[in-house]
Amino acid sequence: MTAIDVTPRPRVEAGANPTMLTGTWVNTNPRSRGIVSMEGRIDGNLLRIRIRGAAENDTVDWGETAAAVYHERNDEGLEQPFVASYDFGTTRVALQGFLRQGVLVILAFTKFDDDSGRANYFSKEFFYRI
Amino acid sequence: MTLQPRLRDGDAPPSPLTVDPSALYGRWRNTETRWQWVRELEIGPGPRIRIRGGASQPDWGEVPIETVYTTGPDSAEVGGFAATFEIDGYTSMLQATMNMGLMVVVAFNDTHDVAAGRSRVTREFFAREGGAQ
Repeated sequence: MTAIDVTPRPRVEAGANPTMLTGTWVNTNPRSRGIVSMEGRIDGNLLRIRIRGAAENDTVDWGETAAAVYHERNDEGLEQPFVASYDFGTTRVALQGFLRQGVLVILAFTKFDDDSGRANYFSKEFFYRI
Repeated sequence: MTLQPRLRDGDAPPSPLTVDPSALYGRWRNTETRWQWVRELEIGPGPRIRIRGGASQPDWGEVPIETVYTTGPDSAEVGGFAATFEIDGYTSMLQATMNMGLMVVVAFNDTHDVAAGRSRVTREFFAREGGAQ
């Protein structure tokens, strides 16, 4: 079992404010090779996010997934921290996100389960809300 | 679905087998001298990780590191790892990354019993004992 397998179950912890993560967030780097944008919306008691990733001359819709949103003190250096994951079969991505001074920070941990020889890697990108 | 990364033509992607995790090896101490969730961590061959926590959980034990990550899609430089601990009443999922010689460890700690304590996230910084390599 890996950390991606045990990604916490989707929910919003008491005290968390997931509306701070809703809307469209755009990568501050327009030449990103990773995540181009994130959309967040409230669905009942859950935060659902949709990622659009970079692709050749276009973007790829990763689809929607539910997040686990935590409540933490702002002085921990992270606000509305959340985790979510995507499973594309031979590629799995665990996302770690949080707000810092209004900027959304997303770390993406990408793991390959195929024989392609690609190394697992992480990326850290920054997003602003439009 | 094809995800990034794209490799440049002619690039040989680094194999996971060639990623050397030894850059993580050693004892890492929390830079914060007051409140600590994780006091220190020790990483060695395997690679395996042992965590020593604060007063409430002095020894988390040792587990294998599940995944070692590089710093980018076409990099062989070790930049982070993931590991999961089962400690007293919590599942603690660690996602760690390297940043300017420091190790940044984010722990998503899910309680098994909300009556015993809430789930929480910690983000702590660690410096290698003896200085950077």
